[in-house]
Amino acid sequence: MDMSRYRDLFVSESRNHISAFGELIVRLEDAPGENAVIDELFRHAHSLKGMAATMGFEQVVAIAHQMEELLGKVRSNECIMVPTLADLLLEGSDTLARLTSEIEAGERSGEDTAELVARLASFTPPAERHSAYSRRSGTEITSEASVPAGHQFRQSDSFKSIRIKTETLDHLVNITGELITNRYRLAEAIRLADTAESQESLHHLSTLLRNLRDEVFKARMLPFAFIAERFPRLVRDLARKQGKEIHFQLFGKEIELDRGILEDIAEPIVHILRNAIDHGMEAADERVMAGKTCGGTITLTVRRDKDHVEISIDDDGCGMDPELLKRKGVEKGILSLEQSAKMTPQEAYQLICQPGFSTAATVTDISGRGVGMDAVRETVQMLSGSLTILSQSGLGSRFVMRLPITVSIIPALIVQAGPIEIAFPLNVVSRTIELEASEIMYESGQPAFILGDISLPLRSLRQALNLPPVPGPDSALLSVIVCDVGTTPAFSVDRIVSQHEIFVRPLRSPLSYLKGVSGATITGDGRVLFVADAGALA
Amino acid sequence: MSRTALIIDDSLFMRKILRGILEEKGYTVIAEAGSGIEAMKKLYSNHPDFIFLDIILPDSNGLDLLTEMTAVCPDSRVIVCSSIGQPLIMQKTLDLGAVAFIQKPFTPETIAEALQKLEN
Repeated sequence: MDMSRYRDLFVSESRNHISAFGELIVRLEDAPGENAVIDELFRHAHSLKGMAATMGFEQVVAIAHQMEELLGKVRSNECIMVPTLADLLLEGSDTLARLTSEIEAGERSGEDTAELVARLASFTPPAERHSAYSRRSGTEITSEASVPAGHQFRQSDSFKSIRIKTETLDHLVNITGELITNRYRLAEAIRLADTAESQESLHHLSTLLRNLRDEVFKARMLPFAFIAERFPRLVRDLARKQGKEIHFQLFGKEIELDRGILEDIAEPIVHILRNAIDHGMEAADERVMAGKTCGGTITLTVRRDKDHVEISIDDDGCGMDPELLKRKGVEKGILSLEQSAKMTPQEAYQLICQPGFSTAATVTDISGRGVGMDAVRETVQMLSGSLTILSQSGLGSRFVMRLPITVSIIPALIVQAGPIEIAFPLNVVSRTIELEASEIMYESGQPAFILGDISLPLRSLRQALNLPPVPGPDSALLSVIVCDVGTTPAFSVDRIVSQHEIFVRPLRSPLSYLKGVSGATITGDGRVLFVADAGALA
Repeated sequence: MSRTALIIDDSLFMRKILRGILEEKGYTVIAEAGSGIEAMKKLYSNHPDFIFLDIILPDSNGLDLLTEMTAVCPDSRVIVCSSIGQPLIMQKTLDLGAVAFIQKPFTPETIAEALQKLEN
């Protein structure tokens, strides 16, 4: 029988087992004595072994077998689950993941796994029990594995779902976007021809297009869990490396986001988590001295808010001192003493997103020296999202990324500056206002105005786009669009043209090097409009 | 008319392999199930000649399921497929009404051999 036709199925199912295995090991470290978790770990190793044996993948069989044996010993209390055992089991699952990738690629690297198998086979737990977490004693040992409710990694039997290539989904979005653009053109043509009978068909077409757009987007949505599996392990490994005790919590992993956004946001989350472990979280003795529990907590929460998703990362570490940040900013020449004096704490926290900014006392190999928070902010802005940083010195920090759930077809505000019309994604615009010239004041020669009780810097969009200023005297009323307060200035524009749903296309080289624009779209009358990147225009 | 089979295993991979083997041998796989609950639903609507049952399932105790199945469908013959090789468990499944026990990992030959024995 030709077994090669089952290879893809083997690879995908093995990956489910391996990733669930890694996640469960970390969970077990956090909640020692959870019998159901040990049972489930055992079941994953056992299933993987059986599958690999059927396919004849001997290296996988040998490793999975030894892991199963070790877990069997934990299950029967012959062996206690100590951190060194967790390390070894995680090393095993990492090796299994590598072997699975080799199987998928149809190549053999010739990695020698015999040494790992030998270490798994000869593992003896250290004698001392104080740092160990043992399985609850006095429990019944069953031969059948039980599974905790709501924690299933197994694939369900169904022809109701099929696998399709992600590029097919990308094509579907493109076609839908083009259809929406063409609908605007058609609407324009019908309006000019003034044919009443076409209106009804157009209306019907619009409804169908909206349905199509919604369905295509739904097909691209993936739960946050898709990228979240790596985070508990990451926190665990880094915390171990730093000698810190950190409890990691994850809420809302069922919340769905566009596949493209999920792919792009994973790295920024990793970076914030790394920073929280490395810079945010104090060592156990420092925590105890500060009257805290010796173990810290990092919480990753995903929350849906209408058309947006909020991803927040909270830690109960040392927090940030705005005064210290400001002093560093002045020392590094990022801001003047005068600017620093006027800076609110909220603005001071944003300083960590400046390239090269860091207040860490020592450089570590985990998060380096302030490298990356600027990249985090850039990615979030590229996704038309916003990053808010909150902190309380001594109590902890919170990083909130607010993102749209989809990126390619979005509502936008079309504005005009000189001869140029440009689209601002609606989710970065918090409001539009009209401003009288007399309301503009100058702070250090820079225009600003008061909104509520905040002074907001004002930038001319003409100036940002390198266009000549408005000829003649300033008009009495300025149209102003306000973006994220605290991070981006408000922009004065010549005219607010309209609000539209636009299909954003990425820019290719050399246009992708243009500063201040993140994409382009085609209007109903066939013109190309750039999509503004408000953060970069500032 | 070809003999019919129902495959119960929580691994899609294992189900497809078993389906491949059975179809190659001329059997008709009328349904597959990935859990105990699903298996009972499929059993009520189909009365297969053979049931291939993995006794480690995420939602059910395989031994209880076996008892229930033999009660609901006494004419279907249950073949237990499991990687649990303990003689006690093997004997228990036979006592509960299974007609054969196939040790995982299996080969097409092991399955063919077991079916041959049963057909005779």
